[in-house]
Amino acid sequence: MLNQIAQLGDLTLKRFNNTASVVKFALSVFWHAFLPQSYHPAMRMVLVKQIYFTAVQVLPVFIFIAFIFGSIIIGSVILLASELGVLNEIGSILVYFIFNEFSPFFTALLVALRSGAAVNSEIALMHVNYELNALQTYKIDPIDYLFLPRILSGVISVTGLAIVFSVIMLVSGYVFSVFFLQMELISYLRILLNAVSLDNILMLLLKSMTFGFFIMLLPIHSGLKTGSCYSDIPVAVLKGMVSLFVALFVIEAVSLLIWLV
Amino acid sequence: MASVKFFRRYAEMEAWINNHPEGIIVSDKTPLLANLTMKENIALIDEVHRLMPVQESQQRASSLLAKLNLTTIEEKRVGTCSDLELFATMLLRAERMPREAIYIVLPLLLLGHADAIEQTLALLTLLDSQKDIFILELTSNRVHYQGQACHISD
Repeated sequence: MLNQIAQLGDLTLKRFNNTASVVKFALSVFWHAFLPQSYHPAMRMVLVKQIYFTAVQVLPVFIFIAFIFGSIIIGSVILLASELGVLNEIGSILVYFIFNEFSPFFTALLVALRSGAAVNSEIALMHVNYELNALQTYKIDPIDYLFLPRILSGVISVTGLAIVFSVIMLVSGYVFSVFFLQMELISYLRILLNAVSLDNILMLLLKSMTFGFFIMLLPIHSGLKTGSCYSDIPVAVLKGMVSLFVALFVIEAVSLLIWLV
Repeated sequence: MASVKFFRRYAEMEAWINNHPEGIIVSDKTPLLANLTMKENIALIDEVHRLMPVQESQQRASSLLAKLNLTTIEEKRVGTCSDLELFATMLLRAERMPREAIYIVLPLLLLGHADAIEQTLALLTLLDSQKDIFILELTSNRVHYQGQACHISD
């Protein structure tokens, strides 16, 4: 019994230390984001490349997936609203569902799966190969050169892609409204404009930015905690991705609470 | 001309490096970045330390590689270069670093063959650097430096 309590205490301490380490790292990156000297030509080059890899390269596949899933989900919501007799509230339902919930979360999941895993393994490999050591020896701050552009690209990319996702879902919503509700475009737009508020748009932007920040921050932090062997890399990626997915659900829950309050 | 300093143990070499921060090291613990080309690895130093625009820094890196007759590796990455090409790029990266000296740590280990010293000295002749260049070596490898065009200091 005592042994189990000791183990629980040990685990709690480990979790606490890890969380403290993530917070410290996040604050450090945040501080560097406001320093003009962080934005040297090499950093700007990495930032542009990272935005290309994270947001532009993925765009065709992203649009395809967004259209398929968006159509299914929006179709289901409209059908359900029709069955429950709440079609007069369809504008509010669509706006809340698209802006507040589905677009940022689904975009975050897609980017986390693709770029989060890539960044985690990249940083872990650099750590094992002494490349981070080389950067420090040559007085190149890894936060400025490696971490900040990746995190900024995460914030910009997830926000941009979430907006694209919202637009695609709204178009899907219109297609379904035409077929199931025989609604005209003008009517559809009027319903949406009446339903949307600044709070919805702010929630979409803030939530996407928060997701983007953590989608890059947590894999980088996990990569930095890798041991010295190549066999430690998959373990670091596994841990990083698990903590990232936990963080995504926590952010989702917290944002829901904020909205309800 | 490069100077060679011999140390009995690696720890002594590390202590000497720590006591001489005016130089920059070229060693297996400071590898090139695998996700950059050879040209980009060299240009990175100018972009960070001199805030040189990317295009200009890469042109300068290209001219440095040309000086060592290595224009063919400009766009290559770590996995596709030979040990000598990687070493030459590391040397050029160190050359662009705003420091007074370059410390080449264990070139035999970096290049991995008996001709390493001759090749290192040939590269240094081509580079014709204005910096003080020190080759840091273990006493056990002293025999490889006999008869070479370098200044040996103990």
